[in-house]
Amino acid sequence: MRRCVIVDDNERFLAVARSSLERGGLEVVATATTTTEALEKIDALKPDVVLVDIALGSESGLDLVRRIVAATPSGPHVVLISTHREEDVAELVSGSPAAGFVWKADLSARAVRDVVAAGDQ
Amino acid sequence: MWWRPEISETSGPLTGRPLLRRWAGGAVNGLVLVAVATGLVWLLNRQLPPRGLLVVYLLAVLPVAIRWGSGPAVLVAALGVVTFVLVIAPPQSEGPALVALGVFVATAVVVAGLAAGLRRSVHESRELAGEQSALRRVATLVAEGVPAPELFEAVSREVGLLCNADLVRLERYEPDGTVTGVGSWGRVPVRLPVGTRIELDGISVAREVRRTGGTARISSFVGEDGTVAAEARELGIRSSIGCPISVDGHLWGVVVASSKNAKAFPAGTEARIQRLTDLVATAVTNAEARAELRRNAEEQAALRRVATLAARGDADPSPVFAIVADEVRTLLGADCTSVLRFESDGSATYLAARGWRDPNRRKPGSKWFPEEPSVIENVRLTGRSARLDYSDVTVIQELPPSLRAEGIRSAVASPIAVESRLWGSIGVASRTGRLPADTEQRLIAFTEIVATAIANTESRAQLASSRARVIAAADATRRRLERDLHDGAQQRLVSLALDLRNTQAEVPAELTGLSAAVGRLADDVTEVLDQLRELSRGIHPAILSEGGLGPALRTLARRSPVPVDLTVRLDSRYRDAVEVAAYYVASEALTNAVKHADADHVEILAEERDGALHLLVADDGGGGADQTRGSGLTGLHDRVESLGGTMRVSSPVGAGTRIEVNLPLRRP
Repeated sequence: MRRCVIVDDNERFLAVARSSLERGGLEVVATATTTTEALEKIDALKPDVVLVDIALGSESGLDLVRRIVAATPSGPHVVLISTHREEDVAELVSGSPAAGFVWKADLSARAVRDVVAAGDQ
Repeated sequence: MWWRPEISETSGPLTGRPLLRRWAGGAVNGLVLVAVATGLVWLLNRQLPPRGLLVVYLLAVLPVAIRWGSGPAVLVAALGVVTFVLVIAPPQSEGPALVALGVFVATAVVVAGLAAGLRRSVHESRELAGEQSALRRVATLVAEGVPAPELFEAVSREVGLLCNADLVRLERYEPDGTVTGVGSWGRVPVRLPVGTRIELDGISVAREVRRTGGTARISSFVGEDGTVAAEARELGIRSSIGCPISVDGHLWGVVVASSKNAKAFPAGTEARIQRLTDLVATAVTNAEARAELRRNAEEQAALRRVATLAARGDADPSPVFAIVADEVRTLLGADCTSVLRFESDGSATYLAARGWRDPNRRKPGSKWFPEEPSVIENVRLTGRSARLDYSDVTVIQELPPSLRAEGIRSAVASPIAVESRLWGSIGVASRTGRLPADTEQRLIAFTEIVATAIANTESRAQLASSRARVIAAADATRRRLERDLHDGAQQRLVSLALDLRNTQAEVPAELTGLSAAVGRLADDVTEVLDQLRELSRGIHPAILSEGGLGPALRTLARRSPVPVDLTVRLDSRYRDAVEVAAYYVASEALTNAVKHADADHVEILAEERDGALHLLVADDGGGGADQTRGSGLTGLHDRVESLGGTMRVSSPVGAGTRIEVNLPLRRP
């Protein structure tokens, strides 16, 4: 699991997240700030994992997760991220087909791998 | 007394047969008396001188003069004198006999005149006594306030007996030119029973009385047309007299006495009847005053019922319209009523209708479109009460479409003005005749109450919607604040924290102090983030906007320090105001249960049922929650009501608190 796409509408976070993940050996092949852009890039680049912010500006990250999974059921692992703590959004995460959740402040390649591994079990 | 004749003989006019009977009776009795006197004279003649005995014949003349009048008496006087001269008298007695005859005739005329005068005054005093007792009987009935039909029958009977009529009718004039029989009495079978309406199309006393306003007299119905003349001919009626009954200066009705005798009613009969009809007028005035009183009382009661309902100021005023339609119909004696609201496009909407043959056309919510001639249209155009009379309409196309199958003869409508703006109209209609002249006036009392009810409802609705707007605006502000915090400070702090972790990882291993310092910084930022998170959650729960009510309630339940038994049966997202209201109720109730009620267990149920969102929060705590003490519950009450919902709180001390909320999902 090496190639990753991040979907978030905050440019500064995208930059920080890219450096954090790449230090851990997770290549960020693309970033996207909207649902449409994200779906296009995922379709073109076929990443192993996609990180999706729950709050995508006026769009819903949860909707995007459902669309990714619906488009390619055997496709990338999807991990939800948010500035909210896990306990605040647990209901949303468990209700979505995402593999798991990582708090944005705790984001790292290792955290993503752990969540995916836990989701695979 | 022997000289008192039978009333029937003397009260009758001097027509052919009684005259003959009088002369025959006088002659026969005179003959007998002359024979008796002659016998007496013959006996006395033995002792007394015959010339003085002539006076005995006065004994025959006087009774005849008293009983049968002066004519027969003169005849008897002549017979007596002739008999005396032929049978008894001595020679040369013709002279004194002639003198005696003269004296007899003069005496007979004087005595007969005196007797007749005496008889007349006795008869008059008997008549007066009869009239007085009739008046007394009727006056007693009036004073007792007997029902009008009973009184009218009694008056008819008294008039009939008093003036020796064969048929008496008491009739009331109607506004449409007919008369209604209200009482009758007769020696002949009555053909037009009480209650019958009679057209005054031909000759009749009633018509004459109405024309002149005074008494009237008809002495022949021969060759006349009309209902009354036909009845008269059938019954053999030959003469009629009528007296007006005036109530408060207005001609109210008439008493008609009829007889088969063409000369039945002597002059002065009208005056005697009139004295009785004055009593009828008093009785009618009394009865009408009582009816007016009763009508006033009924009207007040009806208005009170409507006003009570209107004063409740329910959000939905339609029960007020329905009760107004009912009450107005009963009270004004109308056949049909409608309550309508005018629309800006010139049409109107039925709010309630009663008594129409075509109720489908007038179901609440049905449209009314402008039509002519129509009282509703007239009210719409003028803003004033309107009245139309359809009784002369012969061509059905002259009627407005909505009335063509209704058989309406008279219609009145009054405007409902809400805060000086024409809002709608109440209309009444009659199938039987003209609606009374005070209908408009009486309708206005109801239109005013309806207007008040509408004004109340409208101001309530305005209040509720302005409260809803205030709450929605506050909610929107909180949501925006939460979003700004999230998109701004929180987002930057999260990036900062992550950046610090990255930096910490970049610090060369030998700079342990720096690494630790950067780590502390990252921890501090995380701590600030957590504080901010608490703050933001209090402003607006992000989970609610992101995930809806179900996840938000589940998050509440999971975070609660007291075990929560949560049941959620919701399928979809609802409008923000509803979700926020339900969330805040659950959140506040849970906070109360934990902080104040010391509960061990809380049950929350949220489900969508019958177009509404139902929420129940029940705890097993100490109860006694007071909604009036400015608790969070009061604000929630306002919030729920602003959405047209209801909130019930039951919190008996020691038995837990139970909060039930019902929120309509459709926008009010």
